[in-house]
Amino acid sequence: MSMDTDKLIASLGQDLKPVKPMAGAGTLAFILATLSLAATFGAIAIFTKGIRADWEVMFNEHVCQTAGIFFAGILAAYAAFRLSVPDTRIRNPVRAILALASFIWVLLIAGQIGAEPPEAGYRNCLTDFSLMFIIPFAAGIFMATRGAPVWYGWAGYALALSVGSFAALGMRFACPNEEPAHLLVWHYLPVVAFAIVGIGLGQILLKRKK
Amino acid sequence: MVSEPNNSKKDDSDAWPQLMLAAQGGDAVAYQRLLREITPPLRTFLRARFFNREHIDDIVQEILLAIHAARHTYRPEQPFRNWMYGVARHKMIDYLRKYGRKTANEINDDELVTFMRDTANTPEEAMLGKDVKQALAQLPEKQREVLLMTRVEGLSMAEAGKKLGMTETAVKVTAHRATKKMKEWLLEYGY
Repeated sequence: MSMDTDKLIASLGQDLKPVKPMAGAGTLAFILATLSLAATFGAIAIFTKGIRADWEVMFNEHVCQTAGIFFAGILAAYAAFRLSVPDTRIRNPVRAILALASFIWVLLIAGQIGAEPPEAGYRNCLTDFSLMFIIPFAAGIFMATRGAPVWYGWAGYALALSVGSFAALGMRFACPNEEPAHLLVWHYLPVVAFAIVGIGLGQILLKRKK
Repeated sequence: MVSEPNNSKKDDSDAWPQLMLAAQGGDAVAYQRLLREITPPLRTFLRARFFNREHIDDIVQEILLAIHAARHTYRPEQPFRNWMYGVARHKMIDYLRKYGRKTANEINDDELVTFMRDTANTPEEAMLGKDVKQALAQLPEKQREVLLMTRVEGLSMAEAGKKLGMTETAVKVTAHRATKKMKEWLLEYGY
């Protein structure tokens, strides 16, 4: 062992302070999901006309769809926090989890393809979606940087996909428009777009030096 | 062939998770013992992967600093070695990106041979030779055979040509192309 390394070890030992071990990926995913849903429904209450009157009908008719969106959000959040801890063995399991979350979105989008183009005038949905997205995404980035992410782009993608899923879930309860083309363009494709943007944001925001 | 780092010190490495938990609680003695014990296997890990010996000390120190900064992310249910080599691998790639890009086209043949003979990605993957297999799988079969014969088995171009039914010149050209492809793969993979 060289003298420099010896000195470094001695110095790190002297500087050592107790640390609280980071919470597990499951716990962090649960926290992010709770936060995202709270922010989403908070945004619905503040920025929109509130929850749609027929939400129970929508929920009963599309229970698989809403469950799929929620499940994709949970899976992506779990993957994001698994990617926030160094490990030589996480790549394949996390890839599988992320692939499953992404596949759910492929199915949701494929289910709406082929519909007539949506009527104009629904750009508010994109604004609402963005409002539901920003705060939970910032919180997710903060939570991830408390760990030690090593695959920045993938972690950013997973976080954006997760938060986007919860925002899309919120939109199903806020917007009464059930046209497939409307759902595709204003509710579902933004999730994909934001997830792709999340790759770049992850590479910038998660890479910060501690 | 590079042997698995710290194979002979299995008893020591069994204590690492406990030492890290003690370090998380603020036990400086346990922490210093842990860092001293993991330094030799980290050196072996880098020596097996890294070609410029001058850089090893620098990278080991960067890894130790990264382990220090990320020590709160270790959880007892996670194998310590996977966590440690996860940090090491990340720092190694980071270091290569930082300092290696300017010499990106300067991977020499000796370095390539070192890589090909190395089966150690992480200690756990050492026996599988996963990275080497992946790199070789990128090559067409003929190029792979030529490269293995001339660079790993140590056959001359003429001997390899005789075995493969090729002229010496054809073997040289094929080896050159294979070497170029392997170098490209190494750079893309972050070596």
